[in-house]
Amino acid sequence: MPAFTMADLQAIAREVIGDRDILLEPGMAAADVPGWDSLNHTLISVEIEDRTGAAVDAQQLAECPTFGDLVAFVATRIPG
Amino acid sequence: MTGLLDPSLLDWVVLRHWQRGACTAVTGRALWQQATAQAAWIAARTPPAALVLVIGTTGPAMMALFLGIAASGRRAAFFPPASPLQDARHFFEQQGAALRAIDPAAICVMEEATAETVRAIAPDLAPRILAVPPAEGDSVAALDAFRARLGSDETLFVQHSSGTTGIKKAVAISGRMLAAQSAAYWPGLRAELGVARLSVASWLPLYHDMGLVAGFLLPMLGGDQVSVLDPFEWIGSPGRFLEMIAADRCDIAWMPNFAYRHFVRLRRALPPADLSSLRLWVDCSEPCRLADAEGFESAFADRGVRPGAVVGCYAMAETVFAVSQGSGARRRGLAVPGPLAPGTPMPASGALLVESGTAAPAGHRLVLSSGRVLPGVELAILDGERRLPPGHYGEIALRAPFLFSGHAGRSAAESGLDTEGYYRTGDLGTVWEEEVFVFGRLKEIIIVNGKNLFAGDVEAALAALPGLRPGRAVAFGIDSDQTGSEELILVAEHDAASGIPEAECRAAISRHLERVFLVKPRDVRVVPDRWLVKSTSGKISRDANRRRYLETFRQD
Repeated sequence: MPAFTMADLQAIAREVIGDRDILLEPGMAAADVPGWDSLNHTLISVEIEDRTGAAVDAQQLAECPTFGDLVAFVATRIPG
Repeated sequence: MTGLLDPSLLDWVVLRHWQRGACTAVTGRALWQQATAQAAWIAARTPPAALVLVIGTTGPAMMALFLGIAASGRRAAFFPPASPLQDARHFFEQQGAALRAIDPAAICVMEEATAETVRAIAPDLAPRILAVPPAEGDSVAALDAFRARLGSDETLFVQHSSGTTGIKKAVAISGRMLAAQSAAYWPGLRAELGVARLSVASWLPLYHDMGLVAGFLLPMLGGDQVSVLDPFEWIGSPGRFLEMIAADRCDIAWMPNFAYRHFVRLRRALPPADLSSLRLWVDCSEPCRLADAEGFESAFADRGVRPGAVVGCYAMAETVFAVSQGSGARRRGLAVPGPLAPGTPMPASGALLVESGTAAPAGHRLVLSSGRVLPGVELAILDGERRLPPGHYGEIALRAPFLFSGHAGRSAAESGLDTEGYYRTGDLGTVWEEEVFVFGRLKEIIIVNGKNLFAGDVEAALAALPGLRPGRAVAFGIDSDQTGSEELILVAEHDAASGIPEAECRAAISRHLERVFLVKPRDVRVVPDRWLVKSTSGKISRDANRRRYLETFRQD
């Protein structure tokens, strides 16, 4: 079981962007989500790092083609 | 130092370029040696007065090239590069129309990968693309050539309005205008900080007037020092900007309002840099909010940011840059009760001048003063053709020794210049007790993180998207406490017969607007047929639909 899930990412995105209606699917990317701009991307990266302890940065996460890839990448970076 | 571009600057460090935590210090001599070599290189490839665009990563090479182009008697202009987070091919496909509209004689590209992309997507532009070679040489002759151009009315550089693919307005700036802006603006800033040379910190893009003029050209003219970070590095690692300030002991920085809010939101993830040297944080290029200024000062007080350190500035490309500038010693806010009609006297409107630290009355928004007008600026407040007495709300018009003479390809009247030489800005505001407050617009412009968008352009861009009813979309802006800027909101009616699900339409709109305008909408709503409200004249009403959107989707 991964320690970081699509639901976790969706919760962070909703909180940072301030839109509780955001729905993320594994095949989607940041470009598909209103409000997920470069500034919020940095904030989302910080939140992911803070909540999971995963050593990730905004650039690495931006290179993930889809949210499914992003969640999998974060899961591999969680300590322990 | 006596005049502009005094040769004594050759012996000083004038530029400190930061990249991934490492600094390269550049003396005036090294910078102008590069500029001189580049002036000769571009002069061999373009005719005098040619318009030469520069695209690339912020750094000494690109800055020296710009100075060299201007010194050579060509017209220099920066053009935005693709973000490392963007698909460069998509970016330049969208920007091809803008490049063709600008119609430069040459496009100087700092990075070969960008040159290859532009050649591939726009073969017609390929012959104009020049890969920039390394600059070598001992001569600093470009310094004298540039200085000589400061007394000329010929165009030195061009600033293009941003935000849309069909870049609409080009503002030509002469050497005389730039020198006049320097004379009106710079001495006051040095006096405010009590220094002979400013130490400027900037992450701002050079294709924007704030980055180009305040963060580059004026300090270069004055022999001041600039510490620079590429804007894309700032977006990815904002903490490096604070580390740069601490390391170089910078004393002044310009940033748009959203950046102050962004730093506050990121605060706990930022490095513990000492910011006590930076005594003037200038808030500019979008509506200035007192709450965001005070929020920033409070959040970073433990790192040395002082109360009153964030001050407003009113600026525009048409006046080279600054029109008015705030001072920490007399910073004030204006509590505005709600929408005002042009012609309203401020005291009768229920608006109040407030001191820093004062809470706004309920239902009021707090506007940060943009300070007093610079020497030589004459500012008028208009209601239609009628000039209003001081203390009224209306359209801001101005004239100044550094005012432009019209947008390229447009007459003076079409550019907003009247017969007395006043420029009608389209901005709404007031001058109250000598302080300028800007808090509205005549035109339907949405300013998202410093980028201007015309609502009509955004709506028109959706016309060809499948799944939507043609002509049944509305775009508007909403002030955001969360971001400290305006948010772009789109509401579009769904064509249910298309069979395309609403969620797909929503994602497609988001992707499309980002590609076309380089701005992400904050929210997109795909609504049923006949949801949008029309005015009595039968047009889709932005105001009425803004209200309906807020009532329907933002009632938290």
